Amino acid sequence: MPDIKKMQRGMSLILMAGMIIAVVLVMTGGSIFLLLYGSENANEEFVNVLGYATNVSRIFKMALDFSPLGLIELGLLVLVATQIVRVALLAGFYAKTRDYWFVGMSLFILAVLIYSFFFRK
Amino acid sequence: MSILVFSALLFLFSFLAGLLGALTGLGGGVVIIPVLVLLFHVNIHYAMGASLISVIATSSGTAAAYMREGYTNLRIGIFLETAAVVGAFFGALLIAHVSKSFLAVLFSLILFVSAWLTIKRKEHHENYQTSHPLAVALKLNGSYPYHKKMVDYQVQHAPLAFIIMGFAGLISGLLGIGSGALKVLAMDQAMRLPYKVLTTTSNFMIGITAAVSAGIYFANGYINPVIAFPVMIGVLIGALTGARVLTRIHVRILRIIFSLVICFMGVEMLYKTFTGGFSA
Repeated sequence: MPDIKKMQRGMSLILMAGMIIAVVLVMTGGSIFLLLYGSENANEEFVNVLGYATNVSRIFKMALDFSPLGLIELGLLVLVATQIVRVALLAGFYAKTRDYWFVGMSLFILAVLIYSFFFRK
Repeated sequence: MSILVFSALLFLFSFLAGLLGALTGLGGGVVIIPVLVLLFHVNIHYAMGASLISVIATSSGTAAAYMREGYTNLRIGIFLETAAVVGAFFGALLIAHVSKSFLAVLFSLILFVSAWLTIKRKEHHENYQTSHPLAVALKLNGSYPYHKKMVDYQVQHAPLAFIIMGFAGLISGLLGIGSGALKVLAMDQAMRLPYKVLTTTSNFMIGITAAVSAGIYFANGYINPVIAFPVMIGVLIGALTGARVLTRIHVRILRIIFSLVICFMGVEMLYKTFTGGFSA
């Protein structure tokens, strides 16, 4: 089946791209963070004073402000989003091959992923 | 200790954890959590968050390479993942309702079970001529490249594997690990898949399972970027290095040594728990 080969290549590309973007964002944020705060004492209070975001919109806001922790978190978010994209790709593939049981299962996984991605306490 | 030194040490230990995790097939998570908690005195919730992130990174990085080799069985992956995501979702929600001591004790138990499963694992089993009816209905059986030709394989006990996978998801969400040992158990002992197929398929699934828990971890503040960034980069580089040298070293002996190491860590975690180390 050449179709599945194409899909596997596509997924491999998505995973690679997602990982590279995530690593670049995390490294950028991490480097800025170490330049700014590298000499501070590493204790838990320090981390709590800095504060970091706990939801998607806040992470975006912080990253756009070039906050180092915001950039790191955006990178981590990209990593999670990559998983959503790859399941969506699978759902599309099974829809094309009319494999409806697998379309259903992929969509179910996708729904749980998206729900938890935007989950708020 | 300054933040710079702290981050550098985290990176170094995470690299080693990722390397060993890849070489033994246990994954970096089971090593990095006790290292963070016992050695660096990191809050166990942050340790789990950093581990979970590194699990997703490792799965993405290695799955990208495995996908092209043709071992991964996507149909089995999707079928079992349906159970794993439900487990992972509830596992992650559960963290807020259990004590840190409970998490530490459960983690120690998982370390012992992982070590036991790893030591006794056999890599060959008999050939089957037929598959479980459910596996037939869902067309789960497949073929994989072996000595330059494609060899067919059958799939046993599909419903049992489905149940084990739901449990693996729950443990993954509850402890921030990939639950690789349990996932391999489902596909090895229950489904009886060839070794290469089950490890690559397990790896394909681990990132998706962990991504489900990650959303809830973010919302609860368990993913602390200061801890997560050196750990993620370290484990990822370690795992990718490990995957490269995997073919050149004696895995069996390494696996036994590694299992003993994680047993020791399990004992240390229990000791810390019962001497009041997690009372906060």
